[in-house]
Amino acid sequence: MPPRLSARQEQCVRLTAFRTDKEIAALLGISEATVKKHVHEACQRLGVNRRKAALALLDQNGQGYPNDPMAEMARIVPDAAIQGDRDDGQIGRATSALELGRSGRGAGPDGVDRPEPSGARSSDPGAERRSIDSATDRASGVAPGDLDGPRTNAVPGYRAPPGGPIVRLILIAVLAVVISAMLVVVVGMVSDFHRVVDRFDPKSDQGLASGG
Amino acid sequence: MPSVQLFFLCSALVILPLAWMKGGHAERAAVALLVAAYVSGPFLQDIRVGRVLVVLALGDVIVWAVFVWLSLKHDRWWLLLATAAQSLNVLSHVALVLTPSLTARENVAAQWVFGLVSLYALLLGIAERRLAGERPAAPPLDRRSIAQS
Repeated sequence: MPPRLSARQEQCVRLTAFRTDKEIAALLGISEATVKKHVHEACQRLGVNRRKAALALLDQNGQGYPNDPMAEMARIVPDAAIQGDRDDGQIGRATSALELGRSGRGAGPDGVDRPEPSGARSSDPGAERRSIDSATDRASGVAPGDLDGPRTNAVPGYRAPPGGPIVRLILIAVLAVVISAMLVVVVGMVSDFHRVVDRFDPKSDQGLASGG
Repeated sequence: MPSVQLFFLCSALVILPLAWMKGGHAERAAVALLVAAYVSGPFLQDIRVGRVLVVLALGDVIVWAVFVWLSLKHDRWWLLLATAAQSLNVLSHVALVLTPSLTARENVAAQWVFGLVSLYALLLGIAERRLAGERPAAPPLDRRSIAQS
């Protein structure tokens, strides 16, 4: 198993799939040289010479982070259906997300906002990040800002509550009964405790009652 | 300050900011709602009819209605739990009218417990948001920009 990358290294390597080093630097608020250094070190740790190979290893090992746009796209779009812009300006079909793994401009999958050339782009890294997030949301069918859409990153085994309003109201009623039953049990235990204490020492129970 | 109130205060001071920062939109809405209820609570305790604090009960009904709406709108288990606790909170006001033997002290104690259940349901909401694989509503913290500013 290859050594684990730092979060920043992994982030840089994954972003090289559809961003230039300069764009990544602007996005993350670091210098271009630092981006190159992160990517280089990531490649060294993974024991590969090329970015594509590093991306391939990351995908094979399933390393990812919650906001990873590439991982999101790879899950949403079937492997054979990913569309990518080619360097010559024509639309080409890539066979997998890995084939988009190059650092040149125009390497983005279809549906993701392509940024303008770096000179015309805003220098606000936060705006860039929001742009990626909203593009990912659009691709997954989630309205921007709505976090309750399809759960592409859900932990296996997690199930959302049933959708019907009647069912939910019944569930609320059942939960209310459960809570009140538990409360009755706890209150009963406390009052039993007081009764026992009162049997041995009536004064201490009076103290509990007045101090509680 | 009684230990239950102190525990409630400490829990609220920890859970509410945590839910605001780490929660999704549902958790944030609940935080805003609970903070509004806590802040307005002391001002609503003066008006009472008989033994019932009418305005406070009305405020609890509004909070309950919003929780019901949230639990129907968002796919979250914790909202169902919080709504159930809030329902019991509203019922405690009704019980004060219907049960003459119920003392105000017992009623208030029950409301504290139901409030605690709602608060800890909110804490569960943060974990559920992670389980659901959704991002927090707050943007990720950019330490570099903080250092520069």
